[in-house]
Amino acid sequence: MKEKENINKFTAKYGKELPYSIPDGYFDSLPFRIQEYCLTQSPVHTKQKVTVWQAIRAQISLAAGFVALAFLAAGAYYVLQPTSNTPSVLSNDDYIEIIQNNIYDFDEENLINEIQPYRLDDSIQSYNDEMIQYLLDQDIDYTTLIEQY
Amino acid sequence: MSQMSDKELLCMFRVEDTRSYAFNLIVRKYQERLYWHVRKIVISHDDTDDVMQNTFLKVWNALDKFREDSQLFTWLYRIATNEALTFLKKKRSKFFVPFEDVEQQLISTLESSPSLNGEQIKIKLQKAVLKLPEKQRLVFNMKYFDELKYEEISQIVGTSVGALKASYHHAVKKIEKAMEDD
Repeated sequence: MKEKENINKFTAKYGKELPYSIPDGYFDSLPFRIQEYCLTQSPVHTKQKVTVWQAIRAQISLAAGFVALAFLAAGAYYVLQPTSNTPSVLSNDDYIEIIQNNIYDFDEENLINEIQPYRLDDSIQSYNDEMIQYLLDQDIDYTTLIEQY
Repeated sequence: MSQMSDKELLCMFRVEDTRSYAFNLIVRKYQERLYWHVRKIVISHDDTDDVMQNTFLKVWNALDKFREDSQLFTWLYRIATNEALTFLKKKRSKFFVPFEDVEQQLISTLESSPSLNGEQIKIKLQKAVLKLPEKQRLVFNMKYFDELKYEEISQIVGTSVGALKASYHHAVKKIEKAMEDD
C-alpha cells in the first residue's frame, strides 16, 4: 500500500510523458517502409510450386554420385589386380642367393619338407631297382661304372 | 474500420493472399508502443528507426512459427527488446566502448538530440533512468512508462515476478536519489 503511494507521488512529481519528439507523419509512412524492407530483405515467402524433378533432383544426384564411385572402384580393382600369368621376376640364382644369405633362417626339417615333393615317384624308383638287379645279375660293378662315367 | 483482434490478424497472416495486408495491420496496431519502448532504450530516433525495421523483419520471418502461447504484443515486445539490446551491444563492440561508457554516450545523445522537446524535469528523469543498470532500466521503463503488468514483463524479459518487483523498487529509489542529488 505504502509502495503504491510512493509510486503515485513519484508519478505526480515527474509525470509519464517522454521528452522526445518524432518527425511529422512518421507513423503514417512507417508501415509501408517496413513492408518494403521486409519484402526486399527476407527470402521469398510465396510458396512456389515444386515440380517432381525439383523434389527428387538432390536424391538422384546423390545416387548418381554413388554409382559413379562404384564404377571407379570396380575399374581400379580390375586394372590394378595382378594377373596369374605374370612371369616370376626371380631367377633360380636369385633363390639360391637368398637361401645362402639367410641359411640360418631355414632348419633341416623345412628343407626336407620343401624337397619332398620333388622325390622320384614310385615308378622311377622301381625302374632303378630293376636296373640295379640287372647289373647285379650280370656281375657288373656299377660303382666302378659310376666312378668312370 | 474497427481494430481487428490479434487472433483475426494471425489467421489472415496465415493465408497467402492476405498475408501482406495482415502484416501491415499488425505493424499499424503495435508500431507506436514498440517505437516508444525502443526509443527509451536506444534514445536516438534514427537508431530507433533501424531497430524497428529489424524488429519487424524478424516478425515477418517468424510470425508463421508464433504458437500463441503468449500474447502477440508480449512476443513483439520481446523481439523489439532483444533487437534494441543487440543494437547497443553491436555499437559498443564496433567502437570499442567500455560498458560503463555506453550510458554516458546515451545521455550525450539525449542532450544533443534535435528531437528533444520536453521540460527540463522530463529530461532529467530520462538521464536518471539512463544511469540505471540495463535490466533495472528495462523493468522501470516497462512498468512506469508502458504500464505493463509484472506478469507481462516477466514473459518479455524472462525473469520472475518477485525479481522484477525488487528491480523496480531499487530502480525507483535510485532515480529518486539521482533527482534529489542533481
